[in-house]
Amino acid sequence: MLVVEVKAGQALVWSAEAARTLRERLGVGGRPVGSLARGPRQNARLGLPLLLLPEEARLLAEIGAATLVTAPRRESGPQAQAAAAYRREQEAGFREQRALAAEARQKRLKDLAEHIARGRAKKQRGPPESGQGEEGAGLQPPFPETAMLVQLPTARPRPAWARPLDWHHPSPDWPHAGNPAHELRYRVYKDLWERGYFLTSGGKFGGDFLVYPGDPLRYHAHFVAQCCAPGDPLPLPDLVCAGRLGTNVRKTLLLCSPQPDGSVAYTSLHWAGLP
Amino acid sequence: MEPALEQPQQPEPQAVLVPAGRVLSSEELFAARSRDQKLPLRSHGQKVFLPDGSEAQEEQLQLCRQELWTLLAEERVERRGSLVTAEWSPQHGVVTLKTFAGKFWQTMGFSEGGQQRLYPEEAVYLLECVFSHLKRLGYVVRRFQPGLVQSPYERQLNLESSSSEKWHGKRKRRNSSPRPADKKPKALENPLPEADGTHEDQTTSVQSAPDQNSRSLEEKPQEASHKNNPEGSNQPPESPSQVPGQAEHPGRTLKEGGGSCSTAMDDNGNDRACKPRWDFEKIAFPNMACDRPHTLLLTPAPELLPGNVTAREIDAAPWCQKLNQRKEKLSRREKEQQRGTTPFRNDVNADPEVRRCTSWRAYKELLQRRWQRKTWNCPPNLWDQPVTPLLNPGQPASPATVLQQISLLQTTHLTEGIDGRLLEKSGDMEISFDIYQADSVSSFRKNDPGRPYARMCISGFDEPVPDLRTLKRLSFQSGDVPLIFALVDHGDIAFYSFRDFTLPVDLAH
Repeated sequence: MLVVEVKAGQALVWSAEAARTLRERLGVGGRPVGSLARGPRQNARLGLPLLLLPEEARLLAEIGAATLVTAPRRESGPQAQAAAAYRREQEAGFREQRALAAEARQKRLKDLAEHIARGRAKKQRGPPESGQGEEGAGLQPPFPETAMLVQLPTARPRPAWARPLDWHHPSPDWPHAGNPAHELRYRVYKDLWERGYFLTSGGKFGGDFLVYPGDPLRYHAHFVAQCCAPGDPLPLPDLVCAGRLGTNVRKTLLLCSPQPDGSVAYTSLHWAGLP
Repeated sequence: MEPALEQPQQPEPQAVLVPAGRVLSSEELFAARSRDQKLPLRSHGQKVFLPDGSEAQEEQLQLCRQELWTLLAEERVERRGSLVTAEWSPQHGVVTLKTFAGKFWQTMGFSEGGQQRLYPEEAVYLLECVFSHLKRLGYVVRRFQPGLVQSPYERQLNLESSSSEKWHGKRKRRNSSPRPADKKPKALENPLPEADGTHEDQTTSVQSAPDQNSRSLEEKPQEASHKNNPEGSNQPPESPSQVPGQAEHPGRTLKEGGGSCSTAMDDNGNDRACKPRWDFEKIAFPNMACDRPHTLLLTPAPELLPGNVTAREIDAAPWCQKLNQRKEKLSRREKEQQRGTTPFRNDVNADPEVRRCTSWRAYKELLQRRWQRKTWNCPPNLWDQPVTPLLNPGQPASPATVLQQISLLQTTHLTEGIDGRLLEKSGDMEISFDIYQADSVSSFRKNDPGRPYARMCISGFDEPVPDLRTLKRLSFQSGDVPLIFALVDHGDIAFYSFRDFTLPVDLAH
């Protein structure tokens, strides 16, 4: 079972495997919000962690695909001990890396042996030169401590115990429970997800969700979903705005109203001229 | 290495074990040296409208996904030599550096108590969404410090820019202009060109105030008349172009004043703040001019001094005698400059008609005559009664000025009409960050960052648009720096700003 860490209403997924399972098996995308290890200074492609919509997180919890936990607090154990252990690990790692560096150098020397021999033969025909210096350096390759590679872990480097989050009741970490807007959005989200659609946040088009027929990596969104409670007034100007905007970005406006019987009523709005 | 050994004790029966992330082995770390550093270009073709279940589409999707997972699974690996060690202290909310800071120190962090510190958003760079978004784009992002907001009086004095001018002049890094106004893209340009102009005007006229004592007496009347000018009185003409010439000298003394402030702060060992917040209305500066007999300086109020500085009462008379009172020697260029400005200083005595006057009475009569000459075409039957015509015959009567004169509602701007009541905290919204443009990084100084490119307020997508009161308060705080609102919507960030807009007047009708 996947573990989703929640803090202040934000649900985060920290591991790439979990992200993959979510996307490929469960059709839940989330949104990467961290810097990519390979390109930390650009915004076009982002990396872990994955930020889930509250609706996505709740759905995963409800279908039993993931456990929501409150983000574990810093271990209250002796910090100095942990730091000392980390330092010991680093030292061991440094020795290993130095050995690896020496090995890599040996291998390269061996690969180039023929080339070197040829070079020496050429030189010997010219003025004679001592080859001892090179061999002496080959024995102990320089590998300063500053050259050691250190991992800056994205996820926690050690497992930790965390308290499961009760998403049925509102709390500082899960303020969404009972919030009418969240309940409304959740019912729409779940219904569309069950129909096999892939959903992302629709803020940039003024809706609640963008509805994709498949993975947004490859497909365009078809609908801009707007959730409205059945009794709520729907001012005509708002409707025109939403419809116009949807048409302009070549999407259909989808008005979604959960019904008392548990189903959701969908109304799609399409701009058309008089025949 | 052995997770079983390191597993912490289960604190509660229902507790869930959060698995650890991938920890790279030495071999993997070593291999990471030669891994690809380039981001793959997305060359998987256009997105399609509908999944048709075809093999080609499936293949494309797998390619895209594989690329995504490769990128996401990559762990950060750095050379130890390029990393900085730091300690997080949760009770203070700051990160203290333990080894020497790298290049990032030029634009990040602050020093306090002799230590180099970072704010958490700078140290972690990660979840502070707006911060990291802007940093990734290359901007310099600093926390907005409300303590450094200029009081209206300081702003009138234009203290900030004069102190930074001093800095740049000293360092010879930039040309003296602290405002790279020409670099601003159009969209962010101050939509208030006239307001900017009046601001400058105020600056020059008020700047001269602290210098009055050291200036010779005959300049004073000119200054007074200059101050009257903007009121639009029909006094005998005094050329308003004398202003730039006047502003030169006072500017110099002011700069020195700003300099002493900033050194005081350095003594304090605190460069988190580059400009102290003095209430100039409460501070009396002693007049130490040579013609002043009063030279006893009282002890300054202790609250105005840095903690480690003591002060005592002193009689400055002996010191005044040591002052170099020789006349300033000007270089030839400076002399030429001064001469160049004199035609603009319209000396009253240069007027031959005025010279012919032998008494005040004659001078006043001359003024009267000139005034009447100007208004000869105002018949008294129209003008000598309570209700007078709307326009002066002498006035240029363009439709625009007429409209301006008869309009009841005057346009107002966002940063105008601010009083103390409005400045009280209203609403939750506060300015969070000062943003500096990426191309300023090389010349950026934390001590004296200069004028930000923009200031950033952060709010959630569901939060309402700020009301006018909040908006006015924030705009006023921001001063002449554009204020931008960042909306965070589940990791998506959108920016918006308000533009001051004056409706154009239709003169054709």
